[in-house]
Amino acid sequence: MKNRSILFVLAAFLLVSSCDNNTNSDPGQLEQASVYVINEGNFSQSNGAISSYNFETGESSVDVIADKTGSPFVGYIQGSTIIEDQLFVVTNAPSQIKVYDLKTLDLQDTAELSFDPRAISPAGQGKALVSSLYDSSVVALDLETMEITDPKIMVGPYPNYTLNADGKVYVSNGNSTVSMIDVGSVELGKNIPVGPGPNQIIEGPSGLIWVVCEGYAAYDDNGNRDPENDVPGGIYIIDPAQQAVVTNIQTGGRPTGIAINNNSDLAYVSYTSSDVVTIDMNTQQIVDESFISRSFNAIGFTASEQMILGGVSNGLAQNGKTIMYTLDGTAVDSFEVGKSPIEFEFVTN
Amino acid sequence: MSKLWIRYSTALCSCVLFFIHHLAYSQVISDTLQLEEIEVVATRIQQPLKYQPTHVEVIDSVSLSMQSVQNIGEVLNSSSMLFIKDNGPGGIATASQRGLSASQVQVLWEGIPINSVMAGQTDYSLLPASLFSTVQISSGNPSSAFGGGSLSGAIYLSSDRAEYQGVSIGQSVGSFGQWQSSLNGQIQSGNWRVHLKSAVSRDENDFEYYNRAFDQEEYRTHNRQEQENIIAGIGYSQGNKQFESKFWFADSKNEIPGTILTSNSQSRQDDQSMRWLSRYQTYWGEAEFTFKNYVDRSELNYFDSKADTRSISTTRRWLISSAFDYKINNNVLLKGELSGSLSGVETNNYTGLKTRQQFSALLNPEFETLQSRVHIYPALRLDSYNDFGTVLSPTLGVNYALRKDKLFLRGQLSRDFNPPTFNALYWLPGGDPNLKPERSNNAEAGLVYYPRWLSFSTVTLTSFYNRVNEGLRWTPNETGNYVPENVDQVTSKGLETSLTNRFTVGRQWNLVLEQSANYVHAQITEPRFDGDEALGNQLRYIPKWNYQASLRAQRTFLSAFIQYKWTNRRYTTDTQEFASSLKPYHLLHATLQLQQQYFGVNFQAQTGVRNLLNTDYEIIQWYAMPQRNYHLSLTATYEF
Repeated sequence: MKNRSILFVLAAFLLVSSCDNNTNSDPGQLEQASVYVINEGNFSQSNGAISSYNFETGESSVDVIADKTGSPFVGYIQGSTIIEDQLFVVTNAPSQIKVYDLKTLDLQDTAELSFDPRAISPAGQGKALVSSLYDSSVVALDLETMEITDPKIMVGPYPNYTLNADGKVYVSNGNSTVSMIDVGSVELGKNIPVGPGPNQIIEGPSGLIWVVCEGYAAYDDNGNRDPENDVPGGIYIIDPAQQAVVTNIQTGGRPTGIAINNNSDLAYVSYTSSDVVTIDMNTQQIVDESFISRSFNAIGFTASEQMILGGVSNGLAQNGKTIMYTLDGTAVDSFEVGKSPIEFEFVTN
Repeated sequence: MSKLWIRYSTALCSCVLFFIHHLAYSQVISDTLQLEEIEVVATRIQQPLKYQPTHVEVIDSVSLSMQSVQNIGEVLNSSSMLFIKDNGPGGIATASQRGLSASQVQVLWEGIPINSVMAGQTDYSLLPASLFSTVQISSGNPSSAFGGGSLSGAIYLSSDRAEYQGVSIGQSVGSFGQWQSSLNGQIQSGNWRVHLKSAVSRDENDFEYYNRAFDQEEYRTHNRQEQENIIAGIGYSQGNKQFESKFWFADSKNEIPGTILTSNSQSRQDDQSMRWLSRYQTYWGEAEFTFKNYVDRSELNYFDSKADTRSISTTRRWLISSAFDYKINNNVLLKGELSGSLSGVETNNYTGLKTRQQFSALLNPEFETLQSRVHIYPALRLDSYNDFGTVLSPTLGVNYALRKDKLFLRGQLSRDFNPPTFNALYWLPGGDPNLKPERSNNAEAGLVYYPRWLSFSTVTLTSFYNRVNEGLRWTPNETGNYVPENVDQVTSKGLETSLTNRFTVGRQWNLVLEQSANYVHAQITEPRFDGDEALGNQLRYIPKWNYQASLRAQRTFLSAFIQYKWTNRRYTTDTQEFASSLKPYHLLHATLQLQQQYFGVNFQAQTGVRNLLNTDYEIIQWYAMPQRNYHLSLTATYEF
């Protein structure tokens, strides 16, 4: 009998000792955010996140949705954009576009898609254009019904970033082109050749379109790196009137993003493994090749605070951080964000 | 679901009624359940379990027969201390042992390493349990035993011939469109013996699950799996000479559904392999020599039309070995082996054919002293590779009988290695041909006690410590491509305990109660980059605690098998974020088996319920696992 008791005590001890008493934290109130940091997350875990920071109070949240609802954000985030007073977040796994109130981040609508969306840009008339990652197309989304409406517009393979500027939506493609779509007719205008790996697009002075091209890393027939045949990254500037690249700023390295100051006269370009470069947007010349001695996953500029924000990734299994810099490149503060920050969305009152 | 339950209940009742009027004539078909008599092959140390220097778990043929409709991944998950990273029915299943990764667990078929040389791991969902006679898990198996790849031990699969001469056919059906047929047989004539094991399955795997992301019940789609497996062998024995040749053909076609967050997966994978092992054993004087010749050819093809991905890979391998045992006296057994292998991979993911040549020499004598109370097992193995150099793997194992046949103290020290996989060396882009092997220092110490509790019992307590250096990690480089680097330093330490009771109730019921629990703390010990917050935290997907228990009861024509497993919380991030962790879960499985003989034919009916508690759980994040499900099988065996 004594021996049986020992057995049962052992079993009971093992069960009790292994109980897990952790409980999830209660949802909290959302501070009014000044900036949202869009974090990609790990594809296999769909743990993208929207982080927030308030410049006045210094309050921050790594995952605003988790703090608000008690459940973490679900999705592998591809991109985001602000349309009027709403934040649109594009995810794969699941293939969705989630629409949040910009101030409260209350979920207002969700578009369930049958394809893998990559990016979204407003297209006027209550529509937005959404790029489809795997079928070389862009489709129109009715923002009222959240349904796909118009036929597909075929662009280049693996359409990437999109930008609406002056009645045109620009789409960077995996075949080193940028497609220019007329918003009014929702028709493809032209595929404009740019550098390899076009990604982020911004509108610069004089309506010129600046395209960040990541470049091309060459390998020889044996699979070994062949740096002599690399095509360095750079900024390709498109003149919409000419529908062609008019300038190519060879920055080298592998640029990941670009941000411009509120005067639109200085651009900050971030890289995967080299320092932040500044470019005079009027002369289109590099000003400083090592403005900030650090590489970033994403870069942003806040006009209200006159600061540069750099998103640092610590891989896909732990949170990253955002470091804030003054206009002379001095780091002044930082806050924790989600996994792999890719974009900044600034909230203006 | 209720209709399904009625259907299975009716079938079960029919089976019971079918057998019940023949109780008086029933015969015992299964044998007794004495684990200690099993020959230990997983450690390469020719001693009973009690004299081994490390802990060895054995899943015997009786347990396997009660789980014959499962795959080896499911069997290991419910019957061993291994943590199986199972993506659900139809999905890949890999193993984590003592907190380390799947590529650090060596899988052996009849002593031959069968981990893919491309990825360095085995998918256990492709291995039907019905093909194998025993499975042995040696968590502390050193590289000196069977070569590199065993930083956290080895799993040894045996497919011995059947114990009968005859033919056996079986058919099983299960929930969510699971269907499996088997044909086994053996015939002996004079000195010759021919045997066959085969299994064919067609599984829809369209089970219902709760999708916690969308808060709704859904059905798994694009999850069909088709498998065919045949192991055929021929043997010849005369005097002290034995020859045996086995051929294993496996073919699998899988649809891959992806996570429960993806609704439009179009990917699929085809796996095909042919393995041929020949073994000749003879004596020259007092020395026993064993020669092996092994060849295999495997294809692994992956297609994803949506992402325009088409990966075609063919692996070929040839291995020869010559081993000897020579008993110098009652205290010294001299053993060793010379072996060589040639591996080659052709795939559109590499540039051209990639090959590896390997030569190995092993000396692993066994010593007994102090009236057989002390067993000492030193071993030294040299592995020379043409692509990354030469590795020495020393081991020292000891077993000391503190009380003869009652209490044993045992332990082992070893330095082990894991060769870089072909993918790490040659994947385009990113592969690095200059990678070094992963190295580890392993230590294990424990006690085994055989008290007379409840007739006969075994108690084990094992502690272990593994320190892995030069661990491989894939990180993005300056071009944005993921490349492997020898940067990880991982420490894994923990405790394992087990308790087995074998006893008889009312002279007719033979019962075996097994319990085991383990604690693992596996962590990164050196920062891999500035600000690495993984330090000191539990590695992702590794539960700190596991507990499992099983009760096997057997009475003449009737057997019952109940299995329980509790798995602790697992974290999916380096920083142990609670919000994205996977909750602990309890699983309970029950199997009932009836055996009866009619007209010289043995019939065996088996029915089982898996996940009896209807637990909603995930082993891998966003991969659904089935709720309560059932199977029913009938096997007929005719002995010549």
